[in-house]
Amino acid sequence: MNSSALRFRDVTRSFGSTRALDGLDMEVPRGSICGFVGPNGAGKTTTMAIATGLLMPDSGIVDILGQGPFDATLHSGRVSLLPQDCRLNPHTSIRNLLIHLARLQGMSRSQARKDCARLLEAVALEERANRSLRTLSHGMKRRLYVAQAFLGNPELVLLDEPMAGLDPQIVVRIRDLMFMHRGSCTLLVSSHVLWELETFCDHMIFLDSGRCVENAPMDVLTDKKCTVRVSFTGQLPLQALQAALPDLELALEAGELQIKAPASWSLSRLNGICLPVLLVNGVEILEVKAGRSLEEAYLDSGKTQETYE
Amino acid sequence: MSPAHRMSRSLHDAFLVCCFDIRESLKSRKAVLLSLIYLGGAMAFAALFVFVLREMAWSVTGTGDSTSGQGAAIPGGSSQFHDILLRLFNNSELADGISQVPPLALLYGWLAFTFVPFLAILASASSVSTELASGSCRFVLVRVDRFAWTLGKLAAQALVLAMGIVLGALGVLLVAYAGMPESEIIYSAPWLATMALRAWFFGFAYIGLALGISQVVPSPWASTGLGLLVLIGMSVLAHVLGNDWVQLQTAPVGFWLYQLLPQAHRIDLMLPALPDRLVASTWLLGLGFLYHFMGFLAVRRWDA
Repeated sequence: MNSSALRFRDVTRSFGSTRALDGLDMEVPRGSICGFVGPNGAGKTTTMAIATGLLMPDSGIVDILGQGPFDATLHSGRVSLLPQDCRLNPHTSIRNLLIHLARLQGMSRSQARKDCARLLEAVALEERANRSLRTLSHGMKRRLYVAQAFLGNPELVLLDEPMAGLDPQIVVRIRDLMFMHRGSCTLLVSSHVLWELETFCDHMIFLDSGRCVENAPMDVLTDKKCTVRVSFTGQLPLQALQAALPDLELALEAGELQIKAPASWSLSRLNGICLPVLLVNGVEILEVKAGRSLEEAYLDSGKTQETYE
Repeated sequence: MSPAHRMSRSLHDAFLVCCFDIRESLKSRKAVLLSLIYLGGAMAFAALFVFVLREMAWSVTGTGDSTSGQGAAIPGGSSQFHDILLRLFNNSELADGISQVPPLALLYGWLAFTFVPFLAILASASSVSTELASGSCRFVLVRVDRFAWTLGKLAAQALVLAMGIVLGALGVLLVAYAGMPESEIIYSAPWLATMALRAWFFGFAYIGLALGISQVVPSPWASTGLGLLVLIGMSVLAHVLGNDWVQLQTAPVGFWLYQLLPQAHRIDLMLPALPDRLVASTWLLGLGFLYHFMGFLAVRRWDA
C-alpha cells in the first residue's frame, strides 16, 4: 500500500497571469492529521480543489490514495471535502441534504439515516435536523458542512478552514471528531490558527507562492523530541552550564534558554539531565517548554516570513 | 472499474440527483410561481374560450345551455375549419390532423406550444448555473461524476416540466367542466393528454437548451437572460429558415440548420400518422440531448 494518501508532483496551475501552484511537490502521509498552512493566496484552496477534481491542473502528477488523479466514480465516499466558500439551497432540510449526499456516495437509505444521525449529534445539530438551511446561522452551516465531510468512512478528508466562525465549544467537538478519525483516515486541514493546528496535527505542510516550503512531522518541525526552552529570571551562567552539559547545544534566544539534545535522546532524558544542572547553578526557572511553537516554526521558515514582511 | 459498472453507477447517481432535484424544485418559490402563472394563464384562456364557444352556440342554435353539446361541433371537425387549415398550412395531412382535434384540446395545444418554451427556459436555465455560482456543486461533484450530475438535473427538469404541463391540462379541464357539456369533456380529455405529451416532447428540446446554457454560463441571472435571448433568436431564425424561398436559396445548409431548431419539428407533432409524430418526437428528444451535451462539454472541464 502506498504510504501517502495524497501526492502532488510538480503540479502547476495558473488563473490567467496568476500562478496559483508553481511546481508543487508534497505528500500527505496516510493516516496522519496534516496541517496545511500558508499565507492568503499561497494555493491551499487550489491544492484541495485539484485533489478533489474540482479544478484541473495545468501540468504535473496528482495521486489520490495510490490510484492516480481524482475520479468521482472511483473515489466517491473515499475522498471528501469541506469547501471554503459555498452557499447551499436555503430551502433544503439539513437531514435531507445529508442523506442525499450519503446516498450519492453509495450508502443505502438506512445506512445514510444512521450515519446522518451520528454526525448531526457530533456537530450538535440533531435538534435542527428537520429545519431548512435558511434557519441556520453561519456557524451552524459550517458545522453541517463539516459533518458532510465525515459521512461514511472516508479515507481522505480535506478540510478548508473547518473552524472558521465556530464558537469554542463547537471547536472542541469538531476537534474530537477529527481525533476519532485519527489513524483510520487521513485529514488535510487548512487553517491560519496555528496554535489550534498544533493541538491536533501530527504532520505539517507549509505552502508559499504555490510551492511547498516545509513538509515534516509536527514533532520534528517544532523540535519537540529533543529541545527544551527554559524561561527564567535573574542571571544565567551560560558558560558554566555549557561546561556542565557538554553533549548539549545551549543558546539564549529571545530571553529564553534553548537546550538542544542529539536526535537520539528522548525528552525525558534531556529533562532529567539538564534540569538538575540548571537548579544547581542557581537558575531561577519559571517555565520549561518542549520545543518551539508551531507559530515560531512557521515564522522561522524563511520564505514564508519574507511573504509576511 | 469496468465501463459497464461505471455506466450503471452513473445512471444510479443520475437517478438520485434527479429525485433530489425534483424535491428541491418543488420547494423553490420560482418553480411554484411559474407553475401557478402557467396554470392561471391556461385556466383564463380556457375560460375565455368556453365563453366564446357558448356565445357561438347561442348564435347558431339560439341556446347557450351548457348541456347543448354544440361546442364540440364548432369549429373542430367541420369542413370549413379544415379548409381554413388547408389554406393556412398548404398541407392536407396537417389539416386532417389538426381538424380531428377537439377545440378545447386545440386551445390547450396552442397555449402549451406557445408558452412551454418560455416556461422551460425560465424554470431550468438557472438549475446548473446556480450551483456553479454558489459553489454548492462542490459537495456533489466529489461524490458524483459530472455527467451523472448534469444528466440527473436534465431528467429532473424534464419531469418538473411534465408536471407543469399536466397541471395546465388539468386546469383547462377544470374550467371546461364548469362551462361545457360532459360529453364534450369526455371526448376532449384524451386529446388533452395527447397534446400534453406532444407539448412535453417540444418542451424537452428547450429543457436541453436551458440546461446547456446553464452549464456554460455560471450565473443564474445571466444564464436565464441568455436563455431567453437564445429562445427569441431561435424563433426568429426558425421563422426565416422555415420560409420555402430561403430554404431553396440556402440549401442544403439552411435546411439542416433549420432541422437543428425545435420549431422545425413542432408542426410535425400535429400530423395524423403516428410514424410522422414519432420522427418529430425523436428529433426533439435528440435536440434536447444535443443542446445539453454541448453545455456538458463546457462543464466537463469547468473550474467548480
